[in-house]
Amino acid sequence: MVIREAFTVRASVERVWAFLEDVPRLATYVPGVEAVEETGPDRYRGRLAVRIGPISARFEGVVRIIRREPPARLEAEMEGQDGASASWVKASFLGTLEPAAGGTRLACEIDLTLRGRLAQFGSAILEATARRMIHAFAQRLQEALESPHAP
Amino acid sequence: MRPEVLHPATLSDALAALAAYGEEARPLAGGTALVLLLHHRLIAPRVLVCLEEVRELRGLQFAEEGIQIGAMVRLQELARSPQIRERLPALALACQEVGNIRIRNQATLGGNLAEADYASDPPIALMALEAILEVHGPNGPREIPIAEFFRGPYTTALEPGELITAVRIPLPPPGSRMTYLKFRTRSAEDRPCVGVAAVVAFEDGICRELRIAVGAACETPQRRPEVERLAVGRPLTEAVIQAIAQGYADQIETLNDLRGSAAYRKRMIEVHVRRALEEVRDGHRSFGADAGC
Repeated sequence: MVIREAFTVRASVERVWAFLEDVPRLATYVPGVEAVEETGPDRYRGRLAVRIGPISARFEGVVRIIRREPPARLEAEMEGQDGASASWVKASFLGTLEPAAGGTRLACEIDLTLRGRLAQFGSAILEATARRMIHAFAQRLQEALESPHAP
Repeated sequence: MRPEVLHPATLSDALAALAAYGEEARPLAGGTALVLLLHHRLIAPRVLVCLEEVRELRGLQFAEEGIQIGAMVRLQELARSPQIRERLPALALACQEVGNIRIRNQATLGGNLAEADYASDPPIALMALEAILEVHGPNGPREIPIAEFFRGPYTTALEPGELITAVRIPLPPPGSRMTYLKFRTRSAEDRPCVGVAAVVAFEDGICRELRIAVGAACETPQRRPEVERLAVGRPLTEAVIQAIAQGYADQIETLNDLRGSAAYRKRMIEVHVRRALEEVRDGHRSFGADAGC
């Protein structure tokens, strides 16, 4: 399933890029991320908690940045597993930045695959959950970069 | 590990058990949804609080101003009840459309709401009927209008430890007719691809009030009051019906899943809102007291 979302942040492309590249800090803005650590150049390990109604899943997995073209384009791959629900998630991420009126337009394209027991909820729920997370992330990112105390 | 099953006989005992075990306890109503999750090992609660014997959750009460349905009332009972069929036919029709007879005999109205599956029939009818949920929890009782209850797929306004105890439905205005249409794309027992509930109050052929709820095509059941208002003060002509059907199709953000793509669902919303309005206008299938005028 491919999910495309785009939003505008009132900050320069360079600042948004610097933010996007700093994965451990970026991760703190993703709802549900519990821990991220660097395991090598462009390689990270982390844990993501997701709640869908009565079910809580906790995916443990890895993130790899596979391509970067500063300050315009970033590609990454993610893979994770939740032991309790016997489910696997795999995602590729493509983020593109371009100057837009009043700031930077950040477009994300996420190709997401879920296998295992959680997948029985169906693609609609997966998509709705993913979009909700992206919107929450976008809002946090906007708040962080647009505040006068922004890093 | 098998969960321990508790059988409280009163609401206060049930609430106390839920409070005592917190996240490790789940309330068990009809079990048609919960037991599947247990079997698939998607949840592993330590305790199940069975609500079967809780007397406060039972029974139907009929009064002048409305109908009160205990949270443990089975969907089949609602589908068959002569009073529900007469006074709230949209609810009876929606309950009758759920799954199959074995599911309807077991599934409860409270459980159905608490599960908040986006593809479910009764919540759509209850949305058009402006139902009010009575909820009890650690901080006492409160009421939640159904329009504020669903927060997303499988997500509700219930706080930890809270239980739906009853669903209250104000009687619709006099001269009302209503219906529920379920559109399936796969098997006869499938959940809806689109569900539409319509409640229309007529006075001398003029529409005084119109309520339409659409669900299963979107994350939660939805109404569009600004579109509903297009009918008020007018007879339900083809042009008015078409404008409302189109308005709903345009304004609802639809989901994409095995039961239908987002674009297909938009088209099916248009078709089924139109059919539901034609049905209430023409009076057939609505087995309400005022049907067939």
